Amino acid sequence: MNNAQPSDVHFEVDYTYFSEVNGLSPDSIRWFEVCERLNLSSAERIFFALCRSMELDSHVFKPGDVIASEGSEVYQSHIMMNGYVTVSQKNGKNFRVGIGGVFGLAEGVMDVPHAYTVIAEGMVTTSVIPLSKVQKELPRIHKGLQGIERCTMLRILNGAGVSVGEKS
Amino acid sequence: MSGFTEAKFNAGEVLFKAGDPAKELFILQKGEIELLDSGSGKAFAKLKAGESFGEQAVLAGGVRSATAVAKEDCVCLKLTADGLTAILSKESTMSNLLFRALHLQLFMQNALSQVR
Repeated sequence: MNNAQPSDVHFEVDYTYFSEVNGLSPDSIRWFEVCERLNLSSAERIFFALCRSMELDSHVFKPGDVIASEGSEVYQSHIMMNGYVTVSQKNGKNFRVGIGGVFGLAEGVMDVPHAYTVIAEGMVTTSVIPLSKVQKELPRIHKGLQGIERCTMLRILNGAGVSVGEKS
Repeated sequence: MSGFTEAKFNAGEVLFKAGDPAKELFILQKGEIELLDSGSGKAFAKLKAGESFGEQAVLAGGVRSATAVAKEDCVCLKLTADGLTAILSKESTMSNLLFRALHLQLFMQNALSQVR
């Protein structure tokens, strides 16, 4: 991260420099040069590339709104665009996450319940990933990408302590 | 799979070192790969057939955060950064979004997993 973040924030990307790369193709040498000059983290590079290509609906949550509930079925996946959320699990783990946090995506695609309870601390804006469109797209995705995505999802869920069956 | 090429590595061979530019990603087909911590040099992950590795650094256009060593004779499918770009350029917006968003979720999960 480029700017110091509050010590109690466990994950967030720094949005400060998005304007510097906005308009550049993530595949271009110029993009790489700007990312290097600004010393952007890997998460920031991926988030900025994502923002550049996103045409997703936004959702605004009020303080105290429950964005996701651990153990419940996943209907929507969210990418944090603004604000902070409290992220918790029934095992007592508590985290604070800001811009760049992603919730419900691996769970939704793998058809398992939410790994975390996510509650808006203040006003929070998210981009909503339409899981129905993702599911529809899955069979058309390049087989190699599918393999990498499956591996990525298993790592996410394993890290979150979610066991995955073989139905996906 | 189009875009991927087969690569064989002998036991003990280093596939890439921490700090190297990330030029390719791998899907392990046969054998076992160890990922070594850039600081301590200790193994923190053992990868089995079917697992991919190296893709986060390639996607971010950065450098390797770990060293990968073949624990035994290995066969991998290898995809260059340019190959990944070519594949993603042919994919739909939704497919691109899914690929990147999943890796962002993995970055978040890794950060949360490190909290004691």
